[in-house]
Amino acid sequence: MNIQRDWIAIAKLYGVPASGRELDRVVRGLQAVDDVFRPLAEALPPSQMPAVSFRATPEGEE
Amino acid sequence: MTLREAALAFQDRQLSSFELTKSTIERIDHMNPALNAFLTLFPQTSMDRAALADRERKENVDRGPLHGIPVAVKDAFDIRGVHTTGGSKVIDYLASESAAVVDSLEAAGAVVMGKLNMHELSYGITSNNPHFGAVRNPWDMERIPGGSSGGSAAAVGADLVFAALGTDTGGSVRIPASYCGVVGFKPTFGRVSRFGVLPLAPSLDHVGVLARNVRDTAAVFKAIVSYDPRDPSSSRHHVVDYTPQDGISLQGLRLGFPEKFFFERLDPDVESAVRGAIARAGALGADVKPVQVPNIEAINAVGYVILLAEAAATLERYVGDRSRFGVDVLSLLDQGRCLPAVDYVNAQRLRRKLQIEFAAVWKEVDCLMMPTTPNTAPRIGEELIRFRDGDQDVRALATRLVRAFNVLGLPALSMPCGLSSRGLPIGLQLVAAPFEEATLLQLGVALEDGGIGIPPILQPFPTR
Repeated sequence: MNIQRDWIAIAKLYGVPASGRELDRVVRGLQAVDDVFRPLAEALPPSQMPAVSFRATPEGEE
Repeated sequence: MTLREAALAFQDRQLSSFELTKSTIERIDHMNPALNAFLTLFPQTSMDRAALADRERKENVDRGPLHGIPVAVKDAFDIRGVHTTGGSKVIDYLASESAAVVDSLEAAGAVVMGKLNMHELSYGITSNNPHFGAVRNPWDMERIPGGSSGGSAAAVGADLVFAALGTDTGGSVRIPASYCGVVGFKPTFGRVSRFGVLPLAPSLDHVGVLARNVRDTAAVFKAIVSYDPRDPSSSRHHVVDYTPQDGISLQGLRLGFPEKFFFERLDPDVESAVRGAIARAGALGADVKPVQVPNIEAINAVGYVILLAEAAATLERYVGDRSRFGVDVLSLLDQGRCLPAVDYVNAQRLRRKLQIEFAAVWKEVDCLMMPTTPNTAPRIGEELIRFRDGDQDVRALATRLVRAFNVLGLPALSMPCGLSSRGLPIGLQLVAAPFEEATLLQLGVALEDGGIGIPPILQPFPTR
């Protein structure tokens, strides 16, 4: 189910103080990526692990 | 002059590092007012280091091919005692130590001439910097050099330095290399330390090399590659000798060209030059065939979400004062602030899924060949490029064929493969499996030796 997001409302919610033309630019960018990205994300199985993972040692690679 | 030619000239006492560095400073003084590639120059330190290289050579100390050679770094790299700005008005600090790669260059005897202009905060592809002025393309001063490492590519393309370091988060080394007619190389994620380098999106950021040819690129890469515990992403994967061999045949090398996506919506001159280079690789003995790759549009979308979210987090502390950002960077930061955390996590989950799918490609081929950018350098200020099927946004167009390899962390190299009908450079992109840098560099050298490249800039360099 791909529900259209209201990016203008989201931008206001997050306190993005962009004005009319700036806001249009922000919304256009987000809408473009959302059209491709969200259907893919919604199809992921719960077992799919992320590419960035936590390690128990702060030094990184063992 | 190549590194090999410089080494011979040093050996035969026809040239000293001091003379080379002095002439480099004169050339920068003459050209930089027009090109705007350098933000900071270190004339005295450079001359001192060059004199030291000459003394060492007399004492039979050989630090390798970069000994006494003028290079430069993007202003995203820390140099001890020098200000780092990231091409911005929000960052300006005096570095207390140098980036790991700057230390490595200096240990190899390189003479770091200065710091280079760039797209603001490495967050864009034009290098039309609102605070330090637009960097110009040495092939056509009315065109962008690409970015974000635009000063690095312009300085190498104009023969101001032998090589420069840049960073590549979504194509920021390879795009300017393509537009400026130089070689641009982004190694595997984790292969080169990012310690002391301004971050943009930490899971996508790579350090890269820009140089005049592939052999010189390999020499610089060899000097900076190592494991560094100060960078949590640094890899312990074994380091090999990355020096390409002379006269190696491409016989037995499996080369794929992904027709879908990478050969769609191209400038006809770009398509013709890249297909010509692929045919040349076949003529040189490689086993060349078309190949299917996973959904690149999906990988690009994943990369864009990760970039927006990570960059917004990295730079959040500065966003309070909106007047200190360029319009394009501010818009991207605003987009990142709007993205829900769920989208970021899902992007990283998709990234792993697509990475596993893409790994199957390497069972069929050793390297991929494709264009670096679908077009040649746009004009400064141009926002849309007209194609047969409609207008394309300059930024989306430039990153379209390169961003996926940041998401996948794969080594990728851009090399010049011809000039357009307007006389602008065209970039050929080579990609290999993780940590297969040696294969990639060897292929690049074989293609260069086989005639793939561009002639030197013919037009007299204008001054302003």
